[in-house]
Amino acid sequence: MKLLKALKKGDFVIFAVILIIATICLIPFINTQTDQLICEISQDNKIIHKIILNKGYKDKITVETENGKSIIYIENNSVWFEYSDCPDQVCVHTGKLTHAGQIAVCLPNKVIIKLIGQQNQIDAIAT
Amino acid sequence: MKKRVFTLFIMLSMLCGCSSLKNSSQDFFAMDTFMNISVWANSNTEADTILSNAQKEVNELSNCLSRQVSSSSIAKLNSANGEPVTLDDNAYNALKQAVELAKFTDGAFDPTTAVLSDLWGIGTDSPSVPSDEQINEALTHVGYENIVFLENNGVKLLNGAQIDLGGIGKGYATDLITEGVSTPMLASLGGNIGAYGENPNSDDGLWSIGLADPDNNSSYIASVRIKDLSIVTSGDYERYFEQDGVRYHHIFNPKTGYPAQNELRAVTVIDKNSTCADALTTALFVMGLNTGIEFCKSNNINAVFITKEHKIYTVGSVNLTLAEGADYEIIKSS
Repeated sequence: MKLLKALKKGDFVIFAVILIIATICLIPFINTQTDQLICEISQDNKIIHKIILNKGYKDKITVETENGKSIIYIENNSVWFEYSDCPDQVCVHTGKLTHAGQIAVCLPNKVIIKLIGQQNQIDAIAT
Repeated sequence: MKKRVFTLFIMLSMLCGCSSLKNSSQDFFAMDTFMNISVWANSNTEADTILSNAQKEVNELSNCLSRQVSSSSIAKLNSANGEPVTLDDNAYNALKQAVELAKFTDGAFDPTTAVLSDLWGIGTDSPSVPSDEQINEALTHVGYENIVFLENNGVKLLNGAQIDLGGIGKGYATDLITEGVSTPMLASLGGNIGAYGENPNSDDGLWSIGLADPDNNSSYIASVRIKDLSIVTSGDYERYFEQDGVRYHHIFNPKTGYPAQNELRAVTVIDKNSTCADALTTALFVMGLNTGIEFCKSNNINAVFITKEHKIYTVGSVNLTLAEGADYEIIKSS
């Protein structure tokens, strides 16, 4: 109470100004954190599909490239390379992606699946 | 009044200090693998410039180190039939480091395993288990002793040796792009991670790096928090084929000519020098669990060994956190 009494009108103006500026500073960050899990599929560095994953969602996406074909399955909150005609099969061996920050890549067909959206618990995976 | 304006100025300065750095990130394909580089700087322009320079360096390096690129120094050396070839600076330096690391690991890492990779064809349309005769013949061309360094970047190969710098290329690239960079950078070059500077997205400035699950390498079984270090992993899950229930992967034992078959699924090395970490993961995988752990202890190497029995052995100052639900046990080897 003593502290409150010691404050003058001008002090409250200063606090108000700071509060307004702080709020303005936060605006750009409001939409950056989301609970939605988004699957981003790109081919040769161009995004060709962007899908919000949900419980009950199912999809089969075929990506045909000049180098070959990739078939991607989506089920609930997971996505994976079901088939690829590439020789090394690294993409198929990668398995299911279920969390933001995970990536699966078909190198020969230059197809990338990324999960984004939720706050990443880690910055990168050493493979 | 002056006092109040001063207070306001100080508090505003503190607010400005909280403002985030600008991030620029790029996915790209180079060195026969997928890469991503993220850079944080004071402005978008600065971040974009650092990123584009780094990407350019990686692409240039890819063209000079790859034995598959016919115009590269290494491809020219491989096709010179033992005649001396003058390498460009990066190819010469990378090869020089590769041979030093081969000596250091007593040949467990060897940059002349190209003939074995070609013979087994792992990662191609038609991989197969070669005959013992074929493997013995190939082994006559394997051995870092077949690399002779001459003056002025000159190199010649003996006994039909063929160079493959795939075992250190990504590490060498990580070292090259992060050298002298003063802003935060996270480089993931084909799974080789370089995490430098303060992580702008964490309170303590550290980067959280996951260690890939050998059964599903898009997930992780444990994580480690680092700064100004590189983390490199080699595992049997990257490129392989299976025949008669046996998994034949791409990490060759240069002494036997076969993919290293032991209790390990993966080895991770954490080191300031990414080239060194890159070569050491291969060498330690080839050495196996016990010899590998002893080698790390003798040489102060920070490493993680993941076994088929779902055990994670750590050596040196590695503090791992097990991922939620990971069916693994961490054992500290002191």
